[in-house]
Amino acid sequence: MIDESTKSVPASAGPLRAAPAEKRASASRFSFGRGVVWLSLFLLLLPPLVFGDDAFRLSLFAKYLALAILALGVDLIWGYTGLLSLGQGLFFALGAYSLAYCLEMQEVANRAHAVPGTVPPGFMNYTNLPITHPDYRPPAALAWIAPLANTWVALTVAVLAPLVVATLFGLVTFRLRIRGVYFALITQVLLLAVFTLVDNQQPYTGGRVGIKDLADLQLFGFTFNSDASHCRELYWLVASVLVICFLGCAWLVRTKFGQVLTAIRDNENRVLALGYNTTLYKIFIFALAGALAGIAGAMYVAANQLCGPGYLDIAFSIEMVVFVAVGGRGTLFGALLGAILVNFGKTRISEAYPDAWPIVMGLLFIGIVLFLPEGVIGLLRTLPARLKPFLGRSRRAI
Amino acid sequence: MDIYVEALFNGLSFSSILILTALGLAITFGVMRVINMAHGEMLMLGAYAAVAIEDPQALPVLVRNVGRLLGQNWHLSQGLHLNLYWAIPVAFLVAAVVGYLLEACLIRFLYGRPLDTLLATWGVALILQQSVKLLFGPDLKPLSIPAALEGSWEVGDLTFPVYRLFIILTSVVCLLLVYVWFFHTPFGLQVRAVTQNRPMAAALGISTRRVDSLTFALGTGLAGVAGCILGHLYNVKSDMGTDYIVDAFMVVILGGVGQMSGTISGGAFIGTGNSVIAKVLGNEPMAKVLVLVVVIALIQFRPQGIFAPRERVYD
Repeated sequence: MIDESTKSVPASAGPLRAAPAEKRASASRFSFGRGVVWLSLFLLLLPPLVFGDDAFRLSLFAKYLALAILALGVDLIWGYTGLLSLGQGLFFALGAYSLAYCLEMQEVANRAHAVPGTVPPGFMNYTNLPITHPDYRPPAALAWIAPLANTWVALTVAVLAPLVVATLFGLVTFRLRIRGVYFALITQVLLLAVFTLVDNQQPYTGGRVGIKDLADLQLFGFTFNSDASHCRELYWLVASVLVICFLGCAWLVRTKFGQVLTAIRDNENRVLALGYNTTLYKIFIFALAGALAGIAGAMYVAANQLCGPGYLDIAFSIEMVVFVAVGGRGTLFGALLGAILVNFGKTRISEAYPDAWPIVMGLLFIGIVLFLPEGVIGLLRTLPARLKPFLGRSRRAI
Repeated sequence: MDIYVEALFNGLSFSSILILTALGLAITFGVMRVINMAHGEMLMLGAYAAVAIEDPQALPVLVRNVGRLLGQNWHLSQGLHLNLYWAIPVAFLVAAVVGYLLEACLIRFLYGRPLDTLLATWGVALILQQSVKLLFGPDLKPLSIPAALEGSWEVGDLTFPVYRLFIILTSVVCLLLVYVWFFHTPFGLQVRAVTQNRPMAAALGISTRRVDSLTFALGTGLAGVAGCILGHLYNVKSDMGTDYIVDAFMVVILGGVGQMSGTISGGAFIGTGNSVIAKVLGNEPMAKVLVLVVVIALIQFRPQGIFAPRERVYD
C-alpha cells in the first residue's frame, strides 16, 4: 500500500517537500534549485532590510553566517558521514588565527608607518621598543608569520592550514578505523592539547588574551568592519562566502561521492565490503570540513575583530554540533538554519537573562536528542503528515 | 633526584584521583557503550556535597537560593560543620543518586546511540554546572582538611604531604571495594556478563536494566568521592569537572574499557607522566600537551586501548 502522507504531497510542493521513505537516506532532501533561491533571498536580503544600518545587529548576523559556514562542515562530517568530531574548533581557530595575525600586523604597521610584516604584534615584542630604536631586535617568530601580512596569503593559509592538519590527523586516525566514540574523544584530546599550547605560549599566540586591536579587512578595494559605515560590506562578504560554500557542499552531497558518505554513516562495513576505500572518503571529508571551519574562522575574525583561545574551548566545539542537531543533521539547509537559530536565540536570551542561557542550552541538547533527532527540518518535513488528521485535506509542506 | 621522587609521589596521588574518576567512566562505557560527558560534573557534585556539609555558611546560602528560585523566603540559621571523613560517604551518595536519576531519566532512552548520548549528557553537564553556580554562588569554595591530615612526613630529604598519602590510601580502599564487588559478588558476575555479551546475558535471565542503573550509579559515586578528595586539595568551583574529564577520557582511551587493570595502568601512566614531565620541563601546561600528544601517538598502535587485552571485535 502506498503511504498516504507521501502520496498527498506533490513532488514540486516546495523546497522542503516530504521525501518518500525510500529516499530518506539519499543525500539530498529538498529541491536543489529552489532551496538555493529561497536561501539566498532569505539570507542576503532579510537582515540588511530588517536591521538597516544597525551596525551592531548586522555584524552580529554576519557572525551567525560565519558560524553557519562552520556548521556546514560539521554537518558534512557528522550529519552525512556519521563521524562526530569534537575538534572542529581547532580548524576554526587555525583560520581565525591566520587572519588575526594578518590584521594585527597590518594594524601595528599602520601605527608605526611601516611596511606590514616588519613590525611584530605587541605580544611578541615584549621589550616594547619601537622598531626604529637602536636596541630593537625583531623576535624570531616574526619571520614565520611575516608572510601572513599579505591578506591573500593569510586567507589562503586560513584554508590550507586546517586542510593539511585535518588530512594528517585523518590519515593517522581513519587508517586505523578509529570511529564512533573513540574518534570523538581523540579529536577532543587533540583540541585540548592545542588549547593548552596556545594558551601557554603567550609570546607567540597572545595567550589567554588573544589578538586584539585588529585592522579592518580590506579586499578588492572594499573595507569590511563592524562600524556603521562598513557593516553592510562585511555582511555581504560573509553572506556570499556562505552561499558559495553552501552551493559547493550541496553539489558534493548530490554526487555519487556524497552518497558513499551517507552509506558510510549508515553501514560502513557494507561499504567496505562493496570495495570502497572508506578511509580515503573519510579523510577527504574530514579535510573538507576542516577547510570550511578555517574559512568560517577567518570570516568570524573579520566580523568579530578579536581573536582568542576561546575558539579552542571544548564547549565551543560541542556547541557547533548542536547547531547542526537543532537544524537537522544530514541536511545542509538544516545546518545553516540551526547555526542561525541557536546563535540568534543565544544573543537574545543572554541579553534578557544572562544566567539562564547555559540551562537553556543544556535543555536544547537533551530535548533535541530525545524528541527531535532530525531537528527543525525533520519536524517541518513530518509536520504535514502529523497535521493531516486534523486538517482533513492534503496540504503543501511549508 | 629527590624532586623527581616527590614529583612521582604527587603524580601518584593525582593518578589515584584520575583512576577513581575514570573507573566509573570505563565501567559504564564497558557495560552500556555510552560515554557520559556529565561525569566531570559528578566530580563537581561530590566536591559541592563536601562544601555543603563542611562549610557552615554553605547550607544557609543553598536554602536561601532555592527559596528565592521558588519565590519563597526560606531561612536556615545554621549549617553543618562536619569534616572530611563524613564528606566522603556523603559525596559518594549524592553523586550516586544523581547518577542513578540521570541513567533512569535520560540515558536509558538513548541506548545504541552513543554519539547522541554524548551530546545529551553534555547538556546535563551544562545544566548541572549552571544550577550549582546559581544555588551555591559563583565564588570559589575553599575546603580545609582535618588537622590529622595536615603537615607532611619527612623521610631523609624527601617530604611526603600526609593528605596526598591519604588520597592514595582512600583510592586504594575504593579500588579494593570495587574489586571485591566486581569479582566476588553475584552482582559483579552479572555486570561482567553484561559487559562481555549483553544479549546473551539478558537471555540467561540477568536483569540488564538493574545492572545498567546500579553500575552507572556506582561509577558516578566513585567520581563523587574523587571530587570530594580533589576539592580538599584545590578549590571547589562549578567548572572543576571539565578540567579533569578529558584526562579521565584519555585514561579510558589508553586503558580500554570493561576491566579494572587497564584503567589503573592508564591512570597511573597519565597521572605520573604529567607530574614528572612537568618537573623535568618546569612547565606544567607544556607537560600536559606532551602527555596528550603521547596519548594520541600511542593510540595509533593500539586503537582499542594500550593496556587493554587483545580481543576480537564484533560489529
